[in-house]
Amino acid sequence: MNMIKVENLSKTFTITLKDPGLKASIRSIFTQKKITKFALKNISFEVKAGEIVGLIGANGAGKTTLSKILSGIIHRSSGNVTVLGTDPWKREIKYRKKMSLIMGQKASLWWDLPALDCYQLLKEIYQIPDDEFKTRVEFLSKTMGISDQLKVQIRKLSLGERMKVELIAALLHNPQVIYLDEPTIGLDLTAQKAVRKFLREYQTQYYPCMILTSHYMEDIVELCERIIILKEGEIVYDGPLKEITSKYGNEKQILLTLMNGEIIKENVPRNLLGERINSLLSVHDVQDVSVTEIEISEVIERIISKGMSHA
Amino acid sequence: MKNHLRLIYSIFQMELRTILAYRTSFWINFLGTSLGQIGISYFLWSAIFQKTSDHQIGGMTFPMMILYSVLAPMTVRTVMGLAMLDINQDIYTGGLNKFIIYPINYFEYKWIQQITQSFSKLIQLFVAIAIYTLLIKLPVEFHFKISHLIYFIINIFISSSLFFVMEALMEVVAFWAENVWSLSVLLRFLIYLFSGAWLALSLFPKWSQSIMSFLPFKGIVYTSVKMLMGELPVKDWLQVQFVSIIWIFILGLLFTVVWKKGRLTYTGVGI
Repeated sequence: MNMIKVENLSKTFTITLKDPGLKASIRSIFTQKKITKFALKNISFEVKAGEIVGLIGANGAGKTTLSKILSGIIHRSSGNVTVLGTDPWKREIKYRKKMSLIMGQKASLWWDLPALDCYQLLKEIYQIPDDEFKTRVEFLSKTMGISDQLKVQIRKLSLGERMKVELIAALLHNPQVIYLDEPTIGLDLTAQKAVRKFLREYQTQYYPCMILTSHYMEDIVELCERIIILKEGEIVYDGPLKEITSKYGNEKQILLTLMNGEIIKENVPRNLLGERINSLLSVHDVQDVSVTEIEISEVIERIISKGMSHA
Repeated sequence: MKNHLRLIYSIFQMELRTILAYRTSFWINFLGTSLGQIGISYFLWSAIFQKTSDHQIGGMTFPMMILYSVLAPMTVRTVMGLAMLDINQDIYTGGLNKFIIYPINYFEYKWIQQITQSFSKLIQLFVAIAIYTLLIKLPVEFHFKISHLIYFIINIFISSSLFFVMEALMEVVAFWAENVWSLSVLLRFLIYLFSGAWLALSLFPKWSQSIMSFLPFKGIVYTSVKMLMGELPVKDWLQVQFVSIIWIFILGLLFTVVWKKGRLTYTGVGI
């Protein structure tokens, strides 16, 4: 069953430009230079229940814009968007009760209050029954390992702890569709791992559909089976994560361990692999040789920076 | 309905907790405005009354004028509640995102915050009246009645809602303008001038008083304070409240149109 259906979606923004300097500032009072920028160009895709889709792209590729359109924050310029059978822009209460958006760079809780107070308010906003609320706070805080921080004012928590309490807040009402925009941004490696582990456990238990945007490839590789790569507002790849290496990784990696302990790594086009290995073996005193597929993250990064043909 | 009332109560409670989290600022602000105001009004009006042979100015005796001058700024402060609703900040910083996502009406949420703030300042105002009574004693012309107090509280509630709509209309311009601070300042200037916060409206020329009867400001301070002081007939009070409610509807309608247009331009910060 399709939870999200996007058809020919486009979004443009009008941006005001201002030249530097005092003269330009005075001129800008009377005339303003405006340009139209395409954030999304005619994109279409569908997401099924229980899927975790990784949304990847360079800065300005349109990832966050897409999350904002899907969650109803901003209006689309053209195309159709249906999530859980409704248009997100209409902001129907029944849709908002089944959806959640977590923006790693934005705090959504009330800074002056402890997390538990915020959760109490969310309980009333989402009208969560008392028993269910208690069980969920207990389960989520235990899984996140943050039970003892719930009575501390949010602004006194560390960045990692804040992200954890935000995640709990976003999942209290058991959403069916979750948009995660950079959920691990700024976190240390341990906290990143904890968040990933938590999301995996949550996914196994509640089976929601998730769209994950992240610049950290570990997030994508560990959590997503399917990825959508955006480049300048267009989808350049939409498919299984595993297939991207065989489809678009035109190279393999040769790893040589020399007798003196030195290690040589080289990426070589598949058709020249044998020839290159022979040449390396003839030059070096080799202890061990291995050939591996190039890391998924490397292929993705190349697609993002250079396009499909150069992957 | 029951669930909705629980939600309203939760927001009210949360706002009170936020006020209490900043309790130092709460009391400093209170002492600064109440005690400071008593001192300034006393010396200013003493000097004015000494220079005139009239027993009354603008229909008020010296003790009533002092009382009015103390109550008026505290009333306007009570009516203004939150002062800045931060709708502009929510638009500039993307704070609006969470309210778009939560299944809650953003304006209902803000309005409850505003009423809670007005409520907390109303308590401060009563404490100030008690201090005033102890320090200066209430004028002999002042006859306290419970009914006047009830009318005053209803007046504060209506005026607080009217201020909410006016301020929201100023701040929503943030969808298009990079700074709306000057609009809020302009609104404050109009409120202080035409509501009677700076000077009792009875001191203004007659012709301007008739114009002010149709503006949305009169009920904010002048009518409410005069009612509390027992110097206004209920009929006149009702007339002013009626005008205020009409303004709430007109400005509310205008706000809805502007908001709908603005939402189309909202980017949620960054693209």
